[in-house]
Amino acid sequence: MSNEFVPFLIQMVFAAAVPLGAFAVALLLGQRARTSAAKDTPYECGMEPRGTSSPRFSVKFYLVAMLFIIFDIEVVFFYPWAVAFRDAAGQSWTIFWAMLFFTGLVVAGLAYEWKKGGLDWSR
Amino acid sequence: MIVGLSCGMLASSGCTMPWWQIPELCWLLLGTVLLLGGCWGPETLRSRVAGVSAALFGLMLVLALFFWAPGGEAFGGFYRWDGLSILFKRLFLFGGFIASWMMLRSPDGPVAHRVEYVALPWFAVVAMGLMASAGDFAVLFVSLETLTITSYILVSMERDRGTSLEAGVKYLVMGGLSAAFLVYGIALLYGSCGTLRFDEMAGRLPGALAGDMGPVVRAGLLCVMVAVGFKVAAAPFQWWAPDVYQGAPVPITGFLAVASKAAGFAVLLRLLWGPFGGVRDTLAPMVAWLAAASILVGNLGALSQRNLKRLMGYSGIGHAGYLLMGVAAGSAAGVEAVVYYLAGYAVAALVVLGLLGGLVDRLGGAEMRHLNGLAKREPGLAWLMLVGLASLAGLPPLAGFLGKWMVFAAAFQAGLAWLVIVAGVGVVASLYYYLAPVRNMFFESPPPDAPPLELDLPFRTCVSILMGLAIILGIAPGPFMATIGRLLAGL
Amino acid sequence: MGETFLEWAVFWTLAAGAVASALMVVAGRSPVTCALSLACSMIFGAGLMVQMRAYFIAAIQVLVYAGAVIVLFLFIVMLMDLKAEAMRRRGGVALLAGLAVCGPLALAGWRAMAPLSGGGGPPPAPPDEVQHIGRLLFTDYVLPLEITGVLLLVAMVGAVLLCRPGGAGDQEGRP
Repeated sequence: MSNEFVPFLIQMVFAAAVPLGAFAVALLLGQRARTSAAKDTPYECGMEPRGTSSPRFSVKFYLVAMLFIIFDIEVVFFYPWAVAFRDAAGQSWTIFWAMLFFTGLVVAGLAYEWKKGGLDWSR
Repeated sequence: MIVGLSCGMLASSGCTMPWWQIPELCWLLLGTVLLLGGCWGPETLRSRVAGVSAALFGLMLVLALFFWAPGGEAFGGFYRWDGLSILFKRLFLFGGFIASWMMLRSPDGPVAHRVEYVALPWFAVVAMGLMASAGDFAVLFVSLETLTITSYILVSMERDRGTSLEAGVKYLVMGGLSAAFLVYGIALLYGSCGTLRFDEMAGRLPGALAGDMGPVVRAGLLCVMVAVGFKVAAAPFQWWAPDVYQGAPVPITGFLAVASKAAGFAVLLRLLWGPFGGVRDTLAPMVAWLAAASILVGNLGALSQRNLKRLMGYSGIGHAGYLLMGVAAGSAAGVEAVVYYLAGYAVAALVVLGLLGGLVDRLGGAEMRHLNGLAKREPGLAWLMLVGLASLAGLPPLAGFLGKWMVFAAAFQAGLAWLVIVAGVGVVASLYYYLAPVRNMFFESPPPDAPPLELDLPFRTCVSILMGLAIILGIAPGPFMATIGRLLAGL
Repeated sequence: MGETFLEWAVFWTLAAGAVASALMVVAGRSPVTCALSLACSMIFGAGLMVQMRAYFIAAIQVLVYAGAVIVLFLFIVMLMDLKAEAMRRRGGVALLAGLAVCGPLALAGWRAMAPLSGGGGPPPAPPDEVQHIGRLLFTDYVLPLEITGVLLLVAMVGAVLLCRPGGAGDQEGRP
C-alpha cells in the first residue's frame, strides 16, 4: 500500500472524530434535561403521538425502487463502454453492435413498462 | 423469420459460426416481439397471442428437428454448437411448444397477464438453450440466473392465489441459496485453475485436484454440484419442488417438470463431460449418492400425496434420481440413456399434466378424488391418463419402461449394483402411487352432479399425439436412439 | 515494516468490519438494523477492493449495492408489518445449520488462501482499469453481457407484473 491513501486515512479519522467529539463535548458540558410526566405530554391542543414508529409505505415505492435498480445496473455497463469505445472501435465494430443490442434490450424493457403503466404514478 | 429459417443450418463442422446464426437470438427476438406486440399491438393480436406463440414454437421445433447440424462454435468458444446442445435444445423447444399449447386451452393461469404468461417461456427457452451451449462459467451462470428468474415470475404470476405466491417465494429463497453456492463454487474453481473457460479448465483441473489446491478444488466442485442438484431437484436439495409444482399453473408445472429439469441435466452433462471430465471419477460416487437419495425421497414422499400436481413434484424428484443413475454410470451408454429417459419422461409427464390442465376446472381441482369415475364420464381421457401414468411408472411397452431399463443397465455395467437395487425399491413404491389415480378413475363412481367434461378437439389431438409418442418411443426406439448416438458421438 | 504493517492493519480492520457487520445482518433483531448492517458490510468490502487496486469494482459496489440495493431492502422492510418479525427469535437449530454450512465454506476459503500467503501484495492495477474492463466486457465477454441484458429485461417484466398494484383482475389492488 502506497502513501497515496494516507490523506484518505487522515480524512476518515477526522470524519469519525468530529461527530464523536460533538457527542463527548455535549456529554461533558451539557446540562441534564429535567423531565417529568407533564413535560412529556404534547402541548395543549397537540395530537396524541400514538401509533407505529415505522409507517408502512405504499407498494408503489417498491416498484419505483426496483425499476431504478434495474436501470442503475444497466447504466453501470454504459460507463466502461464509453471509456473503452474510442480505443476499441478503431479495431473492430463489435463494441458498437454489442452496445446497440444491449440498448435494444433496455429499450424493449422500457417500452413494456411504459405500456403497462409502470411509470404512471397515479395508477 | 429469416434469421429463424437460417439459424443453425449453415453451420458446418468445425468452423466458426457467425453470431447471427445462433437460434437463441431468433427465439429472443420472437419472445420480445410477442411481449411488446401483445402489449402495444391491436386487441386481435392480444387475444390470439397464445396461438401465435404455440405456432411459432412448433415452427422452431420443426426447424430444429430437420435442419440443424452440429459442429462449430461462436463468440470465441463461449457458445458451443455440438450434438449435446442440439439434443437438449430440441427438448426445450418441445417443452415450450406443449406448454404454450396447454396455455391455449388450459383455463387456469393468470387472466390479466395473458401476454406475459405466453411470452416469458420464450425467454426461459433462450436461457436454457444458452445453458446447454455454454462454453464458459460466466455464460453458464448468467443464463442459469435468467432461467431461474423467469421461472420465479411464471410460478408466482397468479398473485391472487395464495399457493402460487407461496410457491414463488419458496422457489426464490431456494434459488437464491443455490445461486450463492454456484457463484462461490465458480469462484473457488477460478481461484484454483485461473480460468473460467470450460476447455481450459478441463486441462487444469486434474492437476489442481492432485496438487496444493486440492481441498479448494473439492470445495468448489461440491458447491457447483450442489447448485446443479438444486436445479434438477435432486435430494437433499429437493424441498422446493413439491410446493412449486403444486402452486404453479398447470402448463408452467409441465414446462418446469420437462424443460427446466432437462436444462439442469444439460448443465450436469456439459460439466461432467467438459471442464470436470478429468475428475469425473471423483464426482461419480457423489452423483450416485444423490441418485439414491432422490429415488428414495421422491418415491417414498409421493406415497402419501393426494394432490396430483404435488404427486408429480415428488415423482419428479424420483425421476431425477433415475436420471442421475445414468450420469453416475459415467459411460456413453449412460448419457444416451439419460437423453432417452428425459424424452420419455417429457412425453409421459406432459400427457398427465396436459390432461390435468385441460380438465382442472371441470373436475373442480387436482386432488385425486376429483378424478373419481373419470372412466365413466370420459373413457377416452381416462385411458389416455392411464397410459401416461403407466409410462411414468415404467410399465412395458412404453417409453418409461425402456428408459428405466437402459439407465439401470448402464448403472449395472458401471458396477453400481447397489444403486440398481435401491432404484428397484423406488420402482415398486412408484407402482403404488401411480396406480392410485387409476383406481379413482376406473373403480370409483363419479360425483352425482358432475358437469359434462368438455375438451376440444385440438387439445385431445395434442394429448393423443403425446401418448402415441410415448408408445412409439417404447416400441420402436431405433431411429431415435440412432439420432442420439450420432449426435453424442463426439462427446 | 512500515508499509506492510499499514497494509496488514488496514486489511484486518476492513475484513473484521466486514465479517462483524455480516454477522450483525444475521443476528440483528430489527430488520432495519440488518439491512443497514448489510450496507456496512458492502462498504467494508468495497474498502478491501480498493486495497486490491480494483477501484472501479469498489465504486460500483458502493453505488449499486450499498446505494441502490440496500435502499430497496429498506423499502421492503418498510412495506411490511415488522412487529411479528422483530419479535421472532432464531433457535439453536438455525445457528447449528448456519455453522454447518458456513464452517466448511470458511475452511475452504482459508485453505484457498493458504498456498498464496507467501505471495507479495496485490498486483498493480492497470493504468486504465475502466477501459480495460470495458474492452473485455464488450469484446471477449460479449455473450454473457447480452445475456445479462436479457436477464434485466425479464427482471423488469417481473417487477412490473408482481408489484404493480391495481392491475386488471387484481382484487387486492388499492384504488
